[in-house]
Amino acid sequence: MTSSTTAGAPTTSSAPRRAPSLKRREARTAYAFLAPSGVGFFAFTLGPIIASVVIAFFAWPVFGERSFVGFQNFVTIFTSDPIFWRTVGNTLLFVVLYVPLNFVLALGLALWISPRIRGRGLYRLLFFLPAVTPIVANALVWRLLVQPNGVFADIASWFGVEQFNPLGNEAGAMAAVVAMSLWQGFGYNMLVFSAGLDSIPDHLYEAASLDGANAPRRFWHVTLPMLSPSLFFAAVMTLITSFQVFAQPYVLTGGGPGVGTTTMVMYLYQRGFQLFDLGTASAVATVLFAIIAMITAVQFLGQRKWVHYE
Amino acid sequence: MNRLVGAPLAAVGALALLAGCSAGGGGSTQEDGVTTLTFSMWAGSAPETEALETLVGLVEEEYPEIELQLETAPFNDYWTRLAAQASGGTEACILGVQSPRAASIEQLLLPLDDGLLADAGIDLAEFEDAIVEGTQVDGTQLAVPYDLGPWIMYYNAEMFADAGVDEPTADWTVADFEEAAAALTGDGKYGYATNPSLDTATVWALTLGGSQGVAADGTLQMDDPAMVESVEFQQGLVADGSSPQLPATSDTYNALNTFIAGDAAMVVDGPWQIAYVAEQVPFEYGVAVIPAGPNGTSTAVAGSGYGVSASCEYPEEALKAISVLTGPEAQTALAEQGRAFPSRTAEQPAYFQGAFEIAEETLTAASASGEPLRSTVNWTQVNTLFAQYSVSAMNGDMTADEFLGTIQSQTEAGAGQ
Repeated sequence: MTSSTTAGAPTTSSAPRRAPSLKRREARTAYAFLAPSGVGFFAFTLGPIIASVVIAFFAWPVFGERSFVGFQNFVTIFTSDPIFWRTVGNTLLFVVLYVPLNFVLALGLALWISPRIRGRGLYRLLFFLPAVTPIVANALVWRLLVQPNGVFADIASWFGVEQFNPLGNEAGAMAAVVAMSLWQGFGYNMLVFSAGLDSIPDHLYEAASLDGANAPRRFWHVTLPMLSPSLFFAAVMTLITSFQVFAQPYVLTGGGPGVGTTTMVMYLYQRGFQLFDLGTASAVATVLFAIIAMITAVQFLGQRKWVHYE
Repeated sequence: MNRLVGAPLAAVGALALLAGCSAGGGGSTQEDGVTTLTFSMWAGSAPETEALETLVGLVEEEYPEIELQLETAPFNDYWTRLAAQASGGTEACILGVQSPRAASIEQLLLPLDDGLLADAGIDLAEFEDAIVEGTQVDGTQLAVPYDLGPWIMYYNAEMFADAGVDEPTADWTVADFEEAAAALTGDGKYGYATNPSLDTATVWALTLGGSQGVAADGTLQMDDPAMVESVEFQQGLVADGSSPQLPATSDTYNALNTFIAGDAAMVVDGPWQIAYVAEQVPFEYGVAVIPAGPNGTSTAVAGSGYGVSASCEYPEEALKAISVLTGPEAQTALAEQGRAFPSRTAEQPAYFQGAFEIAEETLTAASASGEPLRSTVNWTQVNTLFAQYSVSAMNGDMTADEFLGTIQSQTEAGAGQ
């Protein structure tokens, strides 16, 4: 590339030649800095995604012969798999319950500690702590709390509930998974919202007050629009992670009772590593990837209507 | 430019090298006359890992030119990890093999013909026939057994004495069991703790109805009348309060832990738990045969051994190591610690000493009347489905027919895929 400006070329000003050279140098530096994460992305993200999509078109048992089967794995999970649609339903149920509750809890608490109240740093720390503790440890502690001889059962017995065993029935198990996930997850969004609230200039509220806006109107017409980039970011990330929910049902409920809390990721794990069927597992993964990609794309398309960037 | 392009390329190369290293050529390497073999086995507690490390020491003492790298995981995780490793071609050289699961990992294991075994100095005639057969698939030996065991009943002798109930005898019946369970229930205590496992359901099916969930020809028959009777029997114990409800699908050790905590008077488990029970319980305990049903008593018998992975580059060395892992000295050591009931008949008396002497009569009788726990090629799937639905079934949210029918149909649907 650099040899294209040959010795025989007419020499005009040296300035036009220096500028691209500097640009190239900067570009090279940028590439050098990007290289480590780029390699990581290709080796550990893009590569496995492509590999998984390819495997989805094969009968790929862990032990034994592999063969190309085209769309057969997809046809199987869509038409004859007794569990797949149930796991899609469970995942959607989790998302529908978890995401709004997470937002209400995170935004409510962020608003609560947003005024310059005493000890707000401590509150932030306390609310954020579950988000940084290992999810498996959290789930194990929750299992101890909600099992029939746990603390919650004792509390329930004060109110006359004799057989307290939420993980032993489907509705109770899903409620426990959602509750535990909320406990684990709301702190992250609360911190995002809290930072967003802090960055809203006071003069906007002052101006709104002078215009006669009361507290609810100030919230609706100042806080929410100014917080919309944070809300958008949190919505995208929370939806993606809640579609991928795995550790909570895996540790807390084992996907049961029955398949009451088996989510799509848990099902693909079971198919792949407990039932040794990597082809079908990859087909489930591909479908999940498509769902997440589609919903994220819709969110990005819709953001123009409600997200306000200054 | 070359330097800049070279950096990421070098990183990719390093990653590839790393991936290549972790593959380890079938879990084995040879350098300076020392053969290093990976040895993968389940262990659920520190004492179990220590027992395995003792065995590794015996191997390296006997064969200084062999070095074993021990990898352990809890029992359920072991099979998951094995699948993950096998899918990436990184399985260990020496693998723990449980007899009912031998068929499901058959393709991963090297067939052990008489010549290979003889070269390593292993004579299967010195082992209990039942478990030698148990570690075969279609007549092909896939592992050298190290232990075996029938399922038995553990009981809390102090709870029996406090309630004025006679302790189980060698000829007790299911009616005696039900009577004792009811009498021992009350004040937050239970007569029996129900297990969510297929093994336990099989044990009750054998004694109540004389058959198990797999036919003699290897066909899955979860909806067999004996299995239905077994599940209904256990559902009844939960329904009448003699047994606590099952708490969660993920809590597979709840029954044993409830017994150990002194909250349940009886539990069904294997002799491989005897050392754990002896260490943990703060009360006097006993063991009994499974109570006799209409046609006498019967229980399931299973065991485990060590196999060589088909990808292992040094199978002769691996078998030499296995000859020590399953040898008289190793089996005596495990027996004395109560870690395994030896598969070698000559070493079995070593088990019945000290704290484990109480099990002699029961284990001898149970082994004699037991029959091998049969399995299918997709045994892992059957077990997973059973554990998953058993909480609903035992707690009374599903009938026994629905429960067993679901396992049968979903396994068949899985097999068809």
